[in-house]
Amino acid sequence: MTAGEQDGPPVAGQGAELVRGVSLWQDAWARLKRNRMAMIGAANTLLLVFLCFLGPIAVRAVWGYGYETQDLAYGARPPNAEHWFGTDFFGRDLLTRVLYGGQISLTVGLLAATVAATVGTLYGAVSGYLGGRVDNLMMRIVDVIYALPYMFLVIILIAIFQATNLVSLFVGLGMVGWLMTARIVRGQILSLKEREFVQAARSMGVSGPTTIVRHLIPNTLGPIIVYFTLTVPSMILQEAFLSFLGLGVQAPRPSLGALINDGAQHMTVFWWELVFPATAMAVLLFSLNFVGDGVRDALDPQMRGRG
Amino acid sequence: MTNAPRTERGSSAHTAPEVADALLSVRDLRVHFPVRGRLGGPREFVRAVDGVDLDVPRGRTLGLVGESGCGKTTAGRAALQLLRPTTGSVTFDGRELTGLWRRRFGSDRWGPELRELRQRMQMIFQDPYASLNPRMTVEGLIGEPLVTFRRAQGRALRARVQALMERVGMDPRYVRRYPHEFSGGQRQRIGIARALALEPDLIVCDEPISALDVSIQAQILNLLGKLQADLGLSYLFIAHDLAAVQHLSDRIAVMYLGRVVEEGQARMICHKPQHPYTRALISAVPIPDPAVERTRRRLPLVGDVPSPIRPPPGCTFHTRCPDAQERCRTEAPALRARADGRRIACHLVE
Amino acid sequence: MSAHANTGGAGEPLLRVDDLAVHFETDEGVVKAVDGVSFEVQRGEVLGIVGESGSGKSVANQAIVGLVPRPPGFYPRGRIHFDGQQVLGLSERKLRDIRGNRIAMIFQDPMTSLNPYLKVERQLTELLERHRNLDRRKARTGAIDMLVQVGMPEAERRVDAYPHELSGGMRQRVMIAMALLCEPELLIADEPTTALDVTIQAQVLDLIRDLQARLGTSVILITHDLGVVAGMAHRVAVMYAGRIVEQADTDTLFAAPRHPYTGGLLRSVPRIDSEPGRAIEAIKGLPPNPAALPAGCFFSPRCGRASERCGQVYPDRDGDAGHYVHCHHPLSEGEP
Repeated sequence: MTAGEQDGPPVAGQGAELVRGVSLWQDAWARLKRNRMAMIGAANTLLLVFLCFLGPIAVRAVWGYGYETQDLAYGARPPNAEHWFGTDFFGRDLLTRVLYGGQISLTVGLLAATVAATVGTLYGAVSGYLGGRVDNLMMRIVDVIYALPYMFLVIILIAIFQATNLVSLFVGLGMVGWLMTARIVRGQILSLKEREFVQAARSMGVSGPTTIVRHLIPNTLGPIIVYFTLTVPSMILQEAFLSFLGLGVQAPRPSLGALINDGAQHMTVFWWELVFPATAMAVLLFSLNFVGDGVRDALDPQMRGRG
Repeated sequence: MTNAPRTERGSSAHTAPEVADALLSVRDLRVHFPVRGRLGGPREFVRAVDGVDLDVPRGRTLGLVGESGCGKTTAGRAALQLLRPTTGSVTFDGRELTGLWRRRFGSDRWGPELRELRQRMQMIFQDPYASLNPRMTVEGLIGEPLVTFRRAQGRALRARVQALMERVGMDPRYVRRYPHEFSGGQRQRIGIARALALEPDLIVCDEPISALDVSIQAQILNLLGKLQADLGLSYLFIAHDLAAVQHLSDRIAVMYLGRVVEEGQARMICHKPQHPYTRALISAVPIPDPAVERTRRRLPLVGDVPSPIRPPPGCTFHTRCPDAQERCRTEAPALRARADGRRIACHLVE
Repeated sequence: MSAHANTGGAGEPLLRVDDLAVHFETDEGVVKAVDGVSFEVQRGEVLGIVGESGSGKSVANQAIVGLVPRPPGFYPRGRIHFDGQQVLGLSERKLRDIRGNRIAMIFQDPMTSLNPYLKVERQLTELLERHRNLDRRKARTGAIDMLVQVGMPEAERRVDAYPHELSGGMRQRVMIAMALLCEPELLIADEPTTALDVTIQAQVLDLIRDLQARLGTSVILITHDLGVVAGMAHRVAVMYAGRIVEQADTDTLFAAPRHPYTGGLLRSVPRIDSEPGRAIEAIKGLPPNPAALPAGCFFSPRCGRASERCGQVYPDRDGDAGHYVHCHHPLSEGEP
């Protein structure tokens, strides 16, 4: 056996080439690539991300104005050659504002979903792994928070964090969003814990934390990713809802929700103020949901036994 | 689990002869699981294992057979300390294991000494599909015990894993493959290689072939036999397939409802069973030979296995025993040694 | 005796399967699960079909009762005559009259074929009402009678139980009762005892053997367990990778197998009545992937007798209907 130490990595051409395996992740990726709707959704999402993050910068560099630049003399114009989406009441370019708003919405959605997934995974994994009384207590806490009207909770959190800045917004959304992830992960861990490979790890003396990290979480990652991809659009929607209540991003910063809120107020007069942000939001949510559905199909455990 | 009631019925232990040079000795082992009784009713226990004595001789195989629900798997896991025995003693290489548990955070854990000893006792699992983490490569799977106990890393680890793969008859080039890319038999080889990684003295094989195809079962049985001969391993071979058990075992213990009813040389148990349950069990095993099958007489068993929550008083087998007498209904027979070297728990066998 | 009296002429088999092929469309291409299988079942005969997982033994029999999911499955060729009537590809409605009535099936896992929400009584009476036009009360009496016949203890009480309240052996008895309720002419038992303990297996096999003898039902017994067929079947067909490789009456097959695969299987099974430590000889290698079958004889990569020709040409049938084999180098009597 010690002779193997000098062998080093097997060299090609010596008959010792290693046969590469195809992991379940690679399998899932291959399936996702075959899913046309998901790929269109992903391409669209990437395009939107690109536009939202680079668009406002380009506009400022080329035309010298930003989402907050007002031109009161040029207020509330319908779409035209100069301003494709028209301008709002204060003469701000609506296209720039939609792109910037998309940027805010995407950021809030991603960060809030990340917070939710991280907190939820750790909480659920610990709860499910420890089991027994600890699990019982941890899950009752989740139940209690879940029973509270969550908007109320977000509003309180935002009030505690003072002012409605972006950080407090996504922390607030994330703090509520983790509940479902925690439940999903806990359920997965509970059933995985009884699987023979986890028992096998235990029988070999693998420690608790290592078991969680090496055996339990990788096998829960599928549902976590699926839930994450579906959480992003729902977080965007909730941010829009908060903006609707005036609790979201504060002016002059726009988010898609805030823009729709503004547009809805002037809907009868300045239609473009509602139509463009609303369309942008719809396209974004559609794309994200297609990606989410595709990821779910690709990772579907029922497909695993196939072939 | 620790506050399970002491059993009121006669203990079968202490009459067992000391088997010379047993690597693993189990005495009066009991594993009782609490179950939720009816609302407001008294707390009840499933007596999964209820007073079991076993001896695994060094370098030999003890077969543990019985039908589903008889407690053989639980007995194997409790012997390995994968779950904490309720009462009883388990000695491995002369050391008592049951006292090495620690209680932490409200649950039972292995103490450091037990963790060290556990390296010398490994397990092979029944289902080669469920017992391998689907996200890990063969290298990760076989190498896990080596990494856990810091025996090897990097290139040395790869070399050790590949040597183990060759040992169990696998192509070492497949070290980076994943379990789902292998057939059931190959996966079971991975499981065996993993159990061998720490160079253990004892391996508990829990139904290692029952999930495999017929033509593959023989390959795995032969592999286990060869590994034993090469490495001097001791096996506790748990299975319901009596023919396979007799093939590999030196001695066989037959369990019924949490207890050993008969134990002895494999040949004796299979060819001249004495306990009424063993006799019925052996007679029910089909033999792949039509001429023999035509002339065999089956000893039918009536009824079902009673619940292990409230096992019948006296001999637990009396509800199904064709020869049961009054004494069997009241008095539990002890597992007593006979002149021919086997042990039987039955009032009716002289 | 059966309600459908012997209508066919003497010697006409109850079931004749001719060159049956069942293929499946999959991502990896067409899988030939069954490819050119022919066999007959006489009235009152027990035919054992032996094979490992993936040998096509179950699929072939699902085709008889039209249970192959289509798509992805399809029948490129073949004919199945049941009592003189061609049944392959029959409409679902016509099949339903045959299935459960004239041909019944027993599966490995009784839990999957019993409706967990229905009492035992309802599972049984439903069939009687559908196929026999009995009213509810008569059907209940019939159901209890049948449970008594299959040896269900306390049948009067158990008829009102739900499947999950019964033990595995009792569930399998209910399944058999369901199968025999309409006095079928053919019973297809697909690994009927694989999920059961040996003592229960013995009970169930005794029951099937007893009922078969009493009712004169023909039985197809599908199993991987050579011990089970040895005690049950009159004739045995051995399947490998979607084809029958050898067929003979049971005594001949066990005493003088001609296909190396059959011989290998017999030598690889440990026997309870043998001396401990007797060597068992494993067949090397793995069963082939049905999506990528080897050229020539499918068993040739694992066969010790294989010659160059075996890797090129699939062997023709050798022998008569009593005992035939598909092999270029069959074993002769007494040969290992």
